[in-house]
Amino acid sequence: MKATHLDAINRYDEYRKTARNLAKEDLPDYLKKVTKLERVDQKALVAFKTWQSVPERTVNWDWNFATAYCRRYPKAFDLSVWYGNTLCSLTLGRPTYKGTSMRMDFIEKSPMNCPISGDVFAISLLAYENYGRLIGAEYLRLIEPMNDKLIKYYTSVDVGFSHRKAKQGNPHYLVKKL
Amino acid sequence: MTSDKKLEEIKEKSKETANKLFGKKPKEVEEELERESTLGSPDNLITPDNKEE
Repeated sequence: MKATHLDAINRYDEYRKTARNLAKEDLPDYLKKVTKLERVDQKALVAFKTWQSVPERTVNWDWNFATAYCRRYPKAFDLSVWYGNTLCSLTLGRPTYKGTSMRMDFIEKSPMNCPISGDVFAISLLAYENYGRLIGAEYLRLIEPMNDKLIKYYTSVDVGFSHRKAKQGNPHYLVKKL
Repeated sequence: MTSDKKLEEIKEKSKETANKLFGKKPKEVEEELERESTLGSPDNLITPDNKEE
């Protein structure tokens, strides 16, 4: 591995840590006491194994590639959200080519009962906004947002996203100025 | 590393965003956020980048 690549990994690791710490700090009290924001590390991947045999799981995504992905793309942002020792969600994304936008590319919530299930998308969004600002991105993109009700909510005045339709093979997304 | 001034601005914006994201939501939105289990797809990572962005 080149020294410049290693330097980038270490530099962006600091941004990732800061983004997670700031998000944790700003969670409402009922979440702050019980929630941890961490990397998608070995501990998260061990916890993820338990998801793979749950019949209620709706996708078969294999998160084991996430660690290697973040070493290959040092600016990528990996996030695991925990309720105590229970893994609640995994998230991965990376900036656009020129870094003008940070992308939240995909999230999976635990297919098992998680007491903060209704909050994990918001927790991830907050951490991603922080990371986007730290790396100097101008926009945050939420790639392939959920259903129409949630698109309507995220594009409401309070939350502040705009919807962009799918174009030239790229999926639709929500975008917000940072 | 980020300058102290920039970091302070980011901290302020983080607080503002948190207030919006964790504020009271319509019941149907809360139900959807509870129900939805995924967003996006790993395939998004392999979609070729627009090199102008």
